[in-house]
Amino acid sequence: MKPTTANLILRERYLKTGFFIGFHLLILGVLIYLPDFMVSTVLAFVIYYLMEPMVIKLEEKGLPRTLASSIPFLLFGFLIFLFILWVVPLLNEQVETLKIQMPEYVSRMKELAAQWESRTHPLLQEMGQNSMVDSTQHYLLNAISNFFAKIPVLLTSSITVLLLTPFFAFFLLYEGDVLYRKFLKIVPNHLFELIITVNHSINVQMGQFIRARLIETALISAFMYIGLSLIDFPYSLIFSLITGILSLIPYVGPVIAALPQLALCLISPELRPDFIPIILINVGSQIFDGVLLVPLLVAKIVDLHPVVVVLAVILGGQMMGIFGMIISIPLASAIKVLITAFYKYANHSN
Amino acid sequence: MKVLWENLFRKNSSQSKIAHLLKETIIFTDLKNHEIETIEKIINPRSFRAGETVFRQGDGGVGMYLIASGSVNIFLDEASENQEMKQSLITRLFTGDFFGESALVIEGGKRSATVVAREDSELLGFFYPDLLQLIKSNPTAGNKILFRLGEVLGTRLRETNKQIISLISENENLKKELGRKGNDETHYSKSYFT
Repeated sequence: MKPTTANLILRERYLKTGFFIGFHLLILGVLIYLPDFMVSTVLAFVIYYLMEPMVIKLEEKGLPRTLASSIPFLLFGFLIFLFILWVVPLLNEQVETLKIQMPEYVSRMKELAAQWESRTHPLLQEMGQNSMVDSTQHYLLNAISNFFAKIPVLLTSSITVLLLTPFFAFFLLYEGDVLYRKFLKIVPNHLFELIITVNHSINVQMGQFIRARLIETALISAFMYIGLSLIDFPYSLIFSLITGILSLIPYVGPVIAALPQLALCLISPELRPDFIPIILINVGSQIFDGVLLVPLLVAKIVDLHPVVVVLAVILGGQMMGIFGMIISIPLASAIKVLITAFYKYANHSN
Repeated sequence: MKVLWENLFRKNSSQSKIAHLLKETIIFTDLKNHEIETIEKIINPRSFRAGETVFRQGDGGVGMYLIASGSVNIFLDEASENQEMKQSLITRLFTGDFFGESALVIEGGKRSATVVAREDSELLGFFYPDLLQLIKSNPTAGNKILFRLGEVLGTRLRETNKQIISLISENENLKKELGRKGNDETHYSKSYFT
């Protein structure tokens, strides 16, 4: 029996939809199977969204795409070079000092835990807890040895990621649009307008999200660095960077970031007077964020619920370690934008 | 010898066919050749089989389509008196015609009619995100398109107003006629009973 036109259209639609879904599942499979590839892709998108407005501005001035994509890329490379030249040696110096001081901090921590244990011993015994001193020492030693054991793996991944990310980012800036047009050719007709709408929403919102969040992180880090340097607090650069990055996690992040600074004050008698200034600087950075940065930068962008951010970071960390934690927030936001855009389109289409 | 016989300009000629079509379309008519080339790069060619729906009335719309080859039927879905949905054919569009342009300026707007390919057709889709990108990267070309788009939408509005006015006057005439008939009938019935 000869198929009717309606059947033919339906069959073609199923085939094209199947191919389209299969293609996406294949890409997802490759990304999950090759974590370095996934991290590089997500980071390349972060760089792409960061530089895209500049590329458009340069194109508007009449520059061809090759030059318009190369100039911001070289500028970004130069900034990274300056960062490596100025910030990395300082960071390295502070990390080295921290490594040397670590055993002393651990033993002081042990002493502090012993003091607390002696005060709360009867209560803990009733609760059936093990010795707090042993637990603390065991936990700290485990964490430190785990961290140092992971460094070679992390370094190998970093080199792969460092090589792939700029390559992917430049490719996205230069040929991204051509690639997108080619991708659109495999989209079935009945999904075409939906995909265009969703892609447009993702581009606009992810661009705003990434730019706003990176500027927010940099400004909070700078605020913290100035504050900590003013009171001459050790490891100011490490702590300010940690606070800047952890501020991406609402409510919980700044508290987690402040804990090691306060712990350092508690275990070092010479830093005890800094306890109150440290609290003030951290609270100050959050007021600066809440009063100035959030209304100016973040208010209009896609925002994730704090619980979702925490869950995404934990999930990212469990699946792919430190890199997983780094990419978890942009990835979670992309998924949120995707779901919102689908929902909005479905609502508009009755 | 092959080089003497083969069509060396095939690719170029197919490109110029789209370029020619774009240049003929009122929305792109003010664009210079290099601007038309930019449009060619961002436009989305789509193939539709005869009977395949391009979009349905009530769907969220993101842009316009230009017919590169083939033809389409435009239907209006209406609820009949017994609440059943019926489709009535409004018009047919052919190669060089375009439709759905209001979606280029109304973000999140809904399609006001259903479009179905009448035969195997090639359509060129030009969408809201493409227009935004063009306005950002080439504001001169973007402005030319927006200006012409305004003209098209204004003309459509004027035509719709004309039709509304003619419908209103038709309605008035009908009312008058019915009123006159009603008076005649009353007069007739009155005279019949008296």
